[in-house]
Amino acid sequence: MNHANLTLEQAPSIFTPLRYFITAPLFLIISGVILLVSGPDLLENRWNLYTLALTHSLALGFISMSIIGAFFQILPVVAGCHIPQSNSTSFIIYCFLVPGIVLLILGFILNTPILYKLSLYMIVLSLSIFIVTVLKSLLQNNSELASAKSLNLSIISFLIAVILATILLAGYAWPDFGLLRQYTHLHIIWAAVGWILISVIGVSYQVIPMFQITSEYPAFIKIFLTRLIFIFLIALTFINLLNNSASLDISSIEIVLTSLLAVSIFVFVFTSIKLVLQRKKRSPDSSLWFINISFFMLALCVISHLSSLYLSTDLSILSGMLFFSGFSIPLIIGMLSKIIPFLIWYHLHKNAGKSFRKSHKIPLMTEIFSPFKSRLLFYVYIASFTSSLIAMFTTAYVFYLASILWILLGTLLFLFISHSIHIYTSFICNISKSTEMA
Amino acid sequence: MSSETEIIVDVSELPPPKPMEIVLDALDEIKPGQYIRMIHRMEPHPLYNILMDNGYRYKVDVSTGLIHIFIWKSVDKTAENLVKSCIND
Repeated sequence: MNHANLTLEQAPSIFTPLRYFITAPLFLIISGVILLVSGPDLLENRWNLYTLALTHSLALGFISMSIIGAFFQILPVVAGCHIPQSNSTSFIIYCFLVPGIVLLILGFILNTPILYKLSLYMIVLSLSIFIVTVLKSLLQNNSELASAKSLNLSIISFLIAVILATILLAGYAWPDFGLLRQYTHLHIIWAAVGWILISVIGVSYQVIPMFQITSEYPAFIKIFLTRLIFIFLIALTFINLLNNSASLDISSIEIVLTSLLAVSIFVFVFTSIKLVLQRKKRSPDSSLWFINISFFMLALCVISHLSSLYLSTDLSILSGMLFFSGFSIPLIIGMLSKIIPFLIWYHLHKNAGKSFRKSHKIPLMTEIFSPFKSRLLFYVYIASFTSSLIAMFTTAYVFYLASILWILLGTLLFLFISHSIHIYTSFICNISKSTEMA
Repeated sequence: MSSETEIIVDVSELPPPKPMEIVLDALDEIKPGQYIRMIHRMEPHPLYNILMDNGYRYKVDVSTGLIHIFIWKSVDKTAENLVKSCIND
């Protein structure tokens, strides 16, 4: 079978994903500031408005911002999907999403209906454009790749999470509408497991064997795992809706379904760790440290959630902390420290003509984002995460230390990405000058 | 296929961006009537834009376990015919 010229001109402009990647660390800084301003009370109650501001700053501002950027980059390159006018579409989504998230965070902190309303309009508009664009592109392409199939499911999950979020936020924006808090659990599982985790699994199928030179994920996992997770999510949704409408006792069914979901996640975690441990070429790579710790913390997060179900104790704050700061944050940092230098390196090669490449040395990936920077980020991350965990059981001083460390982590990440972009723009200027002189 | 017409670049066990760095260097080595056979474990989609923008053409053979990408200068009809016969074989 031959494929000629398969993805000509499908790679997007560098700023299509980069505008999201450079903005994401700013929300990590904002999250640290929220921690600092709110104080340790935030760890006491998941319904605290500061807690909601923090979780949405992380989930939408840091995690989803990075995943949306990655989608624009990965769909054409990895799944071979063409996104029409991806640069302008990405820009429009960005222009509504960023102020929308800021207004939502302010809305929670100030508890002001007008801010909730404005954020609702902007976020729903931007995410609707994103979901429709990506879904259309995936369906038109109809790729047989396991990654593309999983990304399809993650986008549908995102749609469900956004619909539930709209219902919930409407309760804050229009108090007469009533706060339908019973949908919160569904909103969380569709956002965390459906959107974030299925995206991570789908991307891992391609990216882990590619960057870590591991074997491929086993075929049965690539075919069935994300589909099973999606089916369990649908079943959990029906059970919850049934419970809300008929007041049935569904706790035992919910425990069984959640346990099946947990087993599916464990299968992914252990397969990934096994592949990485058995990889063909072993070279020191700090992005791997982020990935390893992230998968390990995902397993702990699932154990924590299961424990709260089986033991009937509320461990939601611990599970949330493990999901956000143990799993998602290191995974995103590890991903950004690989993708950004690769993107810049690639676009420099793409823009530089043959003669320019001969006369100027285009920087290596390790010069664009040095291993020292990745290691520094890792050490600061470990300090932030450890102090956050300790803060759950000790004095307020450790809590404030953790807040400052998260701000430091976000600031370093922002500065390192900015420096990488500076390297890119400097070289592009040189290429333009060289072209004019020629 | 004789080595006079084929430059084999096996990058199947290298992480990004090494495969692309090596093949871009190898492009400078192509003489008239020669082509590159790049052996990779996955399709290097980002490479294709660079090739097309710089006056090269390519064909991809995924019929074996590994991906074989054949690259030649767009003006070199001899190399193009060699690639076609190679893939048809």
